[in-house]
Amino acid sequence: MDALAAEYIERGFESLFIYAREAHPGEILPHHTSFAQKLAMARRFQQEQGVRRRILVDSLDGAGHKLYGALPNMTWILLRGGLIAYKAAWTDAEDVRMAMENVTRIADLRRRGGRLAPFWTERLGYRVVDQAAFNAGLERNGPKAVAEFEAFTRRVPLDRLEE
Amino acid sequence: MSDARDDEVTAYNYAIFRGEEDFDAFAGRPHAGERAPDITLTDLDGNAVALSSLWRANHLVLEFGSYT
Repeated sequence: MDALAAEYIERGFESLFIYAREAHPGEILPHHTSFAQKLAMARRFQQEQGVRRRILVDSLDGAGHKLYGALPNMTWILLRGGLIAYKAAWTDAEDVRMAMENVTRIADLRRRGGRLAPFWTERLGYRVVDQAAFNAGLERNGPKAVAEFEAFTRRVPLDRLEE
Repeated sequence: MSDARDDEVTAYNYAIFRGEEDFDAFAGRPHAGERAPDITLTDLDGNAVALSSLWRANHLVLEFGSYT
């Protein structure tokens, strides 16, 4: 997503990482108990993961996160002026790229003076799951994060999309 | 903060992951084509930043997430 942000900055896109609650807290990377701690976690995330996009931190109560749906890794694209162009329940860089290309295409059509009529679409996306990287992330968070996710997956049947 | 408010903040910042994702809530409003909620966030230097101050100049791509 950082690479995508750099690639599209000249086309008028500003890409932000909105820091929300910890999705899989563990002993090493714990849940938030104060805003100062949340801010410190965001700084640590930037430094240790080398995030190049601007990071903005939500309030401790998740007020902003909740207004946008409160899922752990959503991506939203807002047009200049604040109209929602895209909302995705999960972040997939290639899917986001398609959406950014669509925004660019619409801007091009508008510049050419074409008459445009908006319409609403709904689409099912798929992403490639890197299970090894996800598991390594849980281990980095702490043993508690590993155990809780294992317990959760035992209770929940396979995604019905995979049936 | 009141006790109820404390409880709400504690529930949001759960210590134990139990599969809190609510995909049905996400599927509701706001939808594409509607106005985005304006929210005020904090940059890593501690400054308040309203999304509306940023979308005046650019399209915005917002990825929500955390370290974990």
